[in-house]
Amino acid sequence: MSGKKERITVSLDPDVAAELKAAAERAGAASVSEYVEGALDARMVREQWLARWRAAAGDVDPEALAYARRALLGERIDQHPQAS
Amino acid sequence: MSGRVLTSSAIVDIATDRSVYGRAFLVAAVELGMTFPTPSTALLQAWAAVPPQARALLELFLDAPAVVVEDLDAFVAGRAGVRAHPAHQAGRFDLAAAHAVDVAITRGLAILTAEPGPLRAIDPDVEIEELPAP
Repeated sequence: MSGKKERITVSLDPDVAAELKAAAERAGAASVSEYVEGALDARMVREQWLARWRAAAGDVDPEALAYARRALLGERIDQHPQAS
Repeated sequence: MSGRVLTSSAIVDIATDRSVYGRAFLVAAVELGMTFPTPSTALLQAWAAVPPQARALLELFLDAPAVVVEDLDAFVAGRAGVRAHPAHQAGRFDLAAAHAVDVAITRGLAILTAEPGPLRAIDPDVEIEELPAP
């Protein structure tokens, strides 16, 4: 990442702003800017990879994706597909 | 860390689309910012198992932000091998399964697999998330 920084102003809900500051502190970031930059960079890396995956493999079955999300988040799954 | 440890059967599902659920779990993990520790021994088995036309997707899988390859060094080999001794004595030893169980216990994560049998042979109590049938 470049050492040169560009200032960008964003508007946040006050509760989100407060949580952002707390999260940056918990993470030991030098500043809120550093925390936000790291989070955005990670998100953009994820989105770029997802675009590459979709281009190569196509879209994922939406019902299977919803199932996987719930499973990974530890949510209760009432309709469990038949296990292999 | 949150996520799942992958086995070769899960990786093969992802690379070949044998089941829609393998790719669904991978995409969901990337979207959610979760981690899929992937034992190097499972990778070896997957590279051996997938047909040539699926190798490009296996490469892309390895680029996924969620995927972290876990190597089998001498220390891990000793720890995982000792744990797998009873399974070996019973004739039910599988090297990649022993490695996956070790990674799962070390990371405190469940294992995502389509074939739980070899994992249960190593440790009946290891937490497993079985991929639904295709």
